[in-house]
Amino acid sequence: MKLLTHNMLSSKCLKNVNVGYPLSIKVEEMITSVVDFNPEFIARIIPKLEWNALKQAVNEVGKDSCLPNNLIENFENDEDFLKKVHHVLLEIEIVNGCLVCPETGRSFPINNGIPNMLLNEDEV
Amino acid sequence: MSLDDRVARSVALENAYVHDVYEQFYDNPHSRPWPKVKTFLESLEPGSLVCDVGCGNGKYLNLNSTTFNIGGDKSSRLTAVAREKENEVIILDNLSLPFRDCSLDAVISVAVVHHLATTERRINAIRELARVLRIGGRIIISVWAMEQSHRKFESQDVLVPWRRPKNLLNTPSLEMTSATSTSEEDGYLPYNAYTQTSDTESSKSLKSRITLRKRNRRQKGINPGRHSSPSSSSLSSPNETCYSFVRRAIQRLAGGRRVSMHKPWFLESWTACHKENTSKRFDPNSLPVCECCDCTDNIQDIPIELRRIDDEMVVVGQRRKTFPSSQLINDLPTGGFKSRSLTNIKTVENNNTITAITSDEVPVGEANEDNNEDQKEVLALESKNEQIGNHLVKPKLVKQKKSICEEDAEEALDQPTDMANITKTPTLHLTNRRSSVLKQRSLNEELMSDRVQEKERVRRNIHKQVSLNDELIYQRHTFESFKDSILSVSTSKRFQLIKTGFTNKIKNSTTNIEKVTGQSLRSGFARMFQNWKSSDSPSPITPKGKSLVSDFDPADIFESKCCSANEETATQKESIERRSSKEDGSDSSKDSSLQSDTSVDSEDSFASVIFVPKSNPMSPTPMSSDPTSPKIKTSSMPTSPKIKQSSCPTSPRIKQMPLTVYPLTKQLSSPKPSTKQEFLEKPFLGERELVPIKKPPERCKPLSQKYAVVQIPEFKKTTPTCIVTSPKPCNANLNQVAKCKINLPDQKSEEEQTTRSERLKKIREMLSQSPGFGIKSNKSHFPLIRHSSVTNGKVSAEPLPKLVSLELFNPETDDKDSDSSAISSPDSIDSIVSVKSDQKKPPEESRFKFPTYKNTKQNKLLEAAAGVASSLDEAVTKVIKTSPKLSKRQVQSTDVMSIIKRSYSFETTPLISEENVENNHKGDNMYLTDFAEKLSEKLLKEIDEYQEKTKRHLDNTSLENINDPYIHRLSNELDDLSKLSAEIKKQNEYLAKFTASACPFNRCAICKKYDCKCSLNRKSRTKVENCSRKEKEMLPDEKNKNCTEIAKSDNSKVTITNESLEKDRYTPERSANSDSENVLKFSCKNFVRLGNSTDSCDSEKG
Repeated sequence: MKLLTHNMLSSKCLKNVNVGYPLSIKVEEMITSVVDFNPEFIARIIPKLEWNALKQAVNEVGKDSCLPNNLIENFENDEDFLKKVHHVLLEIEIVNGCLVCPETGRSFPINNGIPNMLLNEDEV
Repeated sequence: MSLDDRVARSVALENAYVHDVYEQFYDNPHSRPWPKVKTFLESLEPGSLVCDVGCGNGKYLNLNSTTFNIGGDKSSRLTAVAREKENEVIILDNLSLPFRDCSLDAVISVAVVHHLATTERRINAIRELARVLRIGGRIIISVWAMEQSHRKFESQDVLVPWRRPKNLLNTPSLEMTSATSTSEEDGYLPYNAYTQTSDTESSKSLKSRITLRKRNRRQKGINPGRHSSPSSSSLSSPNETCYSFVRRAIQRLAGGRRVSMHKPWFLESWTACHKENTSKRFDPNSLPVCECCDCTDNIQDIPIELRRIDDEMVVVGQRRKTFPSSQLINDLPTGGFKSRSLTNIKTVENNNTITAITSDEVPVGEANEDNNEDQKEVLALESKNEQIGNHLVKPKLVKQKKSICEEDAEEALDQPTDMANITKTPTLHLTNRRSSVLKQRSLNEELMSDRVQEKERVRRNIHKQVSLNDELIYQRHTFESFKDSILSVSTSKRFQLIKTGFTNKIKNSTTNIEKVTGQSLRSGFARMFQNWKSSDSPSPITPKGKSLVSDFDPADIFESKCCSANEETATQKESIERRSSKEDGSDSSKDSSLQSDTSVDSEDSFASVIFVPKSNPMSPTPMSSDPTSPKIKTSSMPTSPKIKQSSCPTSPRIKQMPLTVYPLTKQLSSPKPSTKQEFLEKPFLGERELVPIKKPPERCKPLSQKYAVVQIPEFKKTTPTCIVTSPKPCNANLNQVAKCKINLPDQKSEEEQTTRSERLKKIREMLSQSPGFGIKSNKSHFPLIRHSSVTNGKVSAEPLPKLVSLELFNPETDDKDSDSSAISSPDSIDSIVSVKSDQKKPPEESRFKFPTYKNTKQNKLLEAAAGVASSLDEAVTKVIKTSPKLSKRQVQSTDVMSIIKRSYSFETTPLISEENVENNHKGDNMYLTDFAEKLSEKLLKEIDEYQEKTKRHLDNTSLENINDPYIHRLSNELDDLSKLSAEIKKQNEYLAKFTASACPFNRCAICKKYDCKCSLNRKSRTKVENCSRKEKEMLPDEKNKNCTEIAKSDNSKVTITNESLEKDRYTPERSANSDSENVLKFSCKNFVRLGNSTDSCDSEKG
């Protein structure tokens, strides 16, 4: 699971959960792969991100120093920044671990890079 | 059972028949992404966050590398497969998507929703999909269709045996899928419409594997609000399909959100999408679309109906029961964010409606070019859409659109904010549609009515035709026989005959297609009517009709006489071919300008067709008129295009009729002695020719004298030109003329065929002798024609017996009759347009008779006049030989009002008398005279048309302008001819289809055909009809003024076709005419095609 995906995930569907975001990440196994850098793509993705959630995820993954605390201006033209974001979003993958609902503590396992977000009938 | 139990059961069902199945599902490596989905994905802008809910093996996850694709599926096995392909996948449940709200730019749900067991769960699934979709995001939802090309489901919800991969286990697994049928049992209009969509569409859809996809929630959402009105019941309806359910669910979602009136949420993405080709299609077609997707799994085994299971399982029944509309409604509002999106949806729907319309029309309609503005827009949309997706999708969309359109339009009207949002959407289609919300609404209504009630329309058309026929025939006794003939006669055969004849003519006269076609059409129509009459009326009329038919070719005439009714068709064909050849020759002599005139004549011929029946009885000759042709005529009468086709063989008769009638009209309009003389001369000429054959040449001599006299006063030129002009004004009186034509043309056709060569020679001689002949004829023709028409009316007294029926039609018809008589040339399409103008023209001609015009137009007119003159000369000679009747016609009075009455009285009475007297020679003589008259009328009509055009220009504008419009006309006509040929082919195809359908009544078949065309050009038709109605209404009130106005309107139409140069001139009636003009402009081409219908409508109205 890439952190970009994580940035979209929520446990809102859980019963009695209002936001369910961001999910905290517990990493058991993580890999870093190389993905072609596409600055335009990253520039388009950034506005869609919840920066704080990304920042939190990065911290949880252990790459906290990679990103500034706040989204910089004119990031479209800051290739270094874009590369950092690219690395964080697309090149870091959690292979095993789990995602934890911030409100209920419900844990969603991640196996082989696939988070299992299924809920039990009684959890909906 | 409790809700919990139901849910538990549904979950158990899904687990047993869906999830477990997919856990062992063989990953079909051959499954290809559905093209629609692929197009959808490719249309997304770079950087979009896309989630494929139900990604399966992830075949859609790597289609667009510029977007971030997340695959989600409930099957851990499939997600693992997708993961192996280096895709980002999540195990998720569609009912509880693990995404934050409005986080995704696009969502695709391919063949997922139908796996859910209950409508409630399906709705929840869609709601979830909408929840995670950002405002302005795009979604594509597809579900299985009940109707698929490779298999048919007995019911909506079935358990489909899963085709086991050969490699895999033998254990059969069942995948629960709910197949939705496009045709809902609920009687939902949109669905019905869909089913009713053109055969081509439906067939395509059926052929291709159909999966219903709902694209763009927006669109879906738009419809739902109002569609869902039946909400609870509809949802719970046992027959409800997954497809319908999904659609309704989306609608409700949209509707609930709509209530909130938030800003559109899809705007951004929407705009982006619209920019892309694919996006356009999706947006407009957002509603469920059936695509020919490759259903990855072709299940060959027999599906298991869930209903049966339901009894036991109770699942299905429960879910429906459990799903109260109120709950849905309540639930929907929850998604407050998306209310904005709903507004967008509305806009989208508008677009969709448009596209749907276009799609429907296009397949049905033959020529897209002919379509009205709206249609054009639609076409543009369609073209775009076509590029994007398959046709299959369109039909469904259309259905939805239909249903939706009305609602949408209303909504749009009600909610200006929505409209603004819509306009904001960058897609051109949307903006256009929105701008013309009212138009759309009207269009939608029309479409709805048309599609849903196509049968009704057909019936209406039939009724209209009947009414027209009644009106036309009513006065004459032939009406009943006519009906009987129509009903009794096998339309299919007649149509085929007409088609063959039409095609033959077209082929024969490739160069002079316009003229030939027009003439052929006219002749065909006339023959058709004659045949009808003959066949219908066992009385001697039938033989006359035959003779009339064969008029053009004397040999044919004889044959027809000898031949039985059965053989008539063949004779007609032969005659048609001969005519085409002869006509071609004459055409070559004639100028292109003449062609336009001929086209006008053709319209007259249509009217004449109606009249023919009477003429047939009138004509003593027991020629076995073509039974087939009459049938065709009858059919053609309701539907213009068919009529046109059929008209070819009948035109000669028509021509004859118009000659006799048109003199009357001329007299009515402007009874000038000179013109009368000319006309007399012309008809006499024809009669003379004919006379040697059967009738006395008395008229011929007077005609020549008169002819010379007439020419001298105005132009001093040879008579032939005058004759030509005179018949044209006659054309103006379409109804009467047409009637006359029907009778006359037949005779003329025979005579003409025989005497054409001679006539051509004579005309050439005349032309050579009188250099100014052509010019004079053009200019002076109008006045001459008018006068001549009057004289002809007198002369026609003898032929009147045939014409009598024509006279009965209307006071206006008298003018028309004169026109018809003049209109020997049967240009089908052009003629139709011109015919209308002619009808109106006659009064104008009387007004416009000024010779001054000729001077300016002479150059151009000269050529046309020369051609016309040649044709006229021939016709005149023939007429003179054959038509002593023409002299009788001359007796008719000149006053317009009196003319109408007189024309009726005179025509009827003299015709009868003539018939009685001529009984011995009537058959041949009448036919000969009729032929001559028809020929002369055609020539006159052509000339008149030219003259009218020129006159109009002259009157309204300087003489110089005239030339240009004429040229334009010619070019336009040529285009029209080419279009006509294409249309004819299409029509033939349609006819074949119709014949296959083999409606009991010929009319029905025709109507259907006609409807098809109509559906395409419905707007144009409606407009034209309205215009014609206005015109008609105007006429009866004050014939003189109205006639002039009408003539103006007709002229305006003609001018419009040419380029509407003289619009400003016709200010007096502009208000009324403006509409007609506009319509004409847009539907000029269509109009030609629809000419028959419009004519019929006009006649009905009149």
